[in-house]
Amino acid sequence: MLGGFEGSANDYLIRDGLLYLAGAYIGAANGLVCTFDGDVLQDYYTGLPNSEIAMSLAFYEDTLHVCGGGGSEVGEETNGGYAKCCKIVNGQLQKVAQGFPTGGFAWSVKWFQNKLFINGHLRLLYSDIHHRLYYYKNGALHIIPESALEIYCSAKPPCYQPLSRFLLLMYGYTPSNNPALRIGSVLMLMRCGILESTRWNKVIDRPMNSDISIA
Amino acid sequence: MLQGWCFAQNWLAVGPGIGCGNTDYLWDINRSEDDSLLLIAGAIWSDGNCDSARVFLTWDGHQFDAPGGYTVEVQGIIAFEYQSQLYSSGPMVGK
Repeated sequence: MLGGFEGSANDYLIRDGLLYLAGAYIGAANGLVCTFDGDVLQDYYTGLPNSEIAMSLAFYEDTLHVCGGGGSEVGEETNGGYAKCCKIVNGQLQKVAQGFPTGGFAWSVKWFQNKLFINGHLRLLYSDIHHRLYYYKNGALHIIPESALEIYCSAKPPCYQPLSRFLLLMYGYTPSNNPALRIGSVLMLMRCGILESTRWNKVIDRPMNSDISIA
Repeated sequence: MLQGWCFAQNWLAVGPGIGCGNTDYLWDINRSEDDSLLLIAGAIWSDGNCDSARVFLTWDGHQFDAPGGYTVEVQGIIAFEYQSQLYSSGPMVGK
């Protein structure tokens, strides 16, 4: 047991030798993000009572970004964009561009090719349309067209489940809900790691014509 | 069915197979710090034996191991190594 740790962590990252953990009611203050240096557990963002859960962490432009189901600071419906995915600067939340309101869920945030990708089922502030994949670059949020995602996600409900954060991020698709794939899903995720060295456009431009079944 | 060109080649099976139920998930995998192990978190059963469920397994390329000895209450969400210590987190109960 990591000393003093409470709650359940959903994601971690290690940067400059320091371990960052994201979850729900974690750390001494039952917050969203805490750090551990091997000896001392420290709160990084403690959140507020209306914060729900942190699912994923990523550093982008030397700033920690966290996404999940909460992170709101204001009780109004839109939360002013301080929800679902935010930066944490000096212990305070900052919006990512115009930000995300309440409603929906952000499963994963990952840095990839100088962009910050945010995956889930969420809408931009003042928008009524939910999308599954956004990226953030040069201070603006952009949407990955649904038509591109549909190549890999044939409108199956598991698209919104967090079975593989990386696959969800890259494709909006998860394999683990398919019994035929369950046995092989461990290695499937590892194999997907090769995409970190490929280009996004190359990936989405190459639809596969045949299904693969692994049993 | 999985669609995606990255899986079309060089597929390898992992061990004797894991998983037994319709709700068992593998949530996370990561390399160990020395790249010798694959660290696996989830609600994991081995060879269809649901009585020996785990939340954390390691895979060395040949066999699984369960270093934590945890019996699953719910599942492990993440698995990683930090400063030569293996960690797994999630809603779980040790046994």
